[in-house]
Amino acid sequence: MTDILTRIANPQRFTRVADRMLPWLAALTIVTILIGQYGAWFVAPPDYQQGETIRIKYVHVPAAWMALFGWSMMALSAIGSLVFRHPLADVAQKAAAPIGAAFCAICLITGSLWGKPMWGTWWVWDARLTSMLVLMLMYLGVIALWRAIEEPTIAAKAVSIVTLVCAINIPIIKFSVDWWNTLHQPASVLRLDGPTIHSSQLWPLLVMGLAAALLFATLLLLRMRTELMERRLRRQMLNAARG
Amino acid sequence: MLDLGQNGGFILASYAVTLVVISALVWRSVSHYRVAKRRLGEIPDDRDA
Repeated sequence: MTDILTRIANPQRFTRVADRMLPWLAALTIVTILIGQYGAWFVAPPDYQQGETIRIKYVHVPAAWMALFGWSMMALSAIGSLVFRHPLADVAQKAAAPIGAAFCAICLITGSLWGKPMWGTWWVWDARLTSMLVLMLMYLGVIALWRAIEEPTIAAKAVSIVTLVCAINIPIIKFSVDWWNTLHQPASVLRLDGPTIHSSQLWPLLVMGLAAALLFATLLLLRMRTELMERRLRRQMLNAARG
Repeated sequence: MLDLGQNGGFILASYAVTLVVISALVWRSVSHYRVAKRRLGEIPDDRDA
């Protein structure tokens, strides 16, 4: 693993690998979304209590998984940046923040649209919903921090520290439904004793989860490529200004 | 035609929001990539310098 990370540490080598992978990843993402959506709409039966409204699950849950994964990935990249000084770690961190924020926004909005018909309210200040809203504010905070500091290496240090400190919210979100009495239901897929939902509803959900992960990876590679080009542009312009 | 019942509006709104947010993210990511690539092409390469 360390060997792979060292080999792709060279930004030019990473660029070559990313360019080769991007079209395949994009195509695989589209195919996976189509299979997942077919399963969600035409294979998965309506829920015995929620009826057709259960179909919101197939966008809400994968978005929540990716919102949590995004920050976890940023926290690992922050360690890579602060401890190992990996040249691509802060690039990955910067590229992941808007993707994670988008998935978090989808999770919050679709959750609200699911809550209104099922709970009778758009929003409640329970532990799961509030900690998820805090995650959204954390994403917006690090995006603002990246924009506020012009020098990428200084910005990377500040963002890495903030990311690691705020990572405490990730286990809080995951276990909030177990630790506190919440209106939000407990975990039904990622449990130690296995999933509690029927396989006819489980497989479309897992396929949609895979599709969301592939979309995350595709956009991450694309945004990392863009960030590397922008840093090269910045270097060239600074060199040109110095004569 | 799929009958979504009395909560059909909430279901369709959820998918519409997801589509809009993901489309905006993909569009912004691709347009930033294209702009950076075009700007990089306009500046002479200094890799050999």
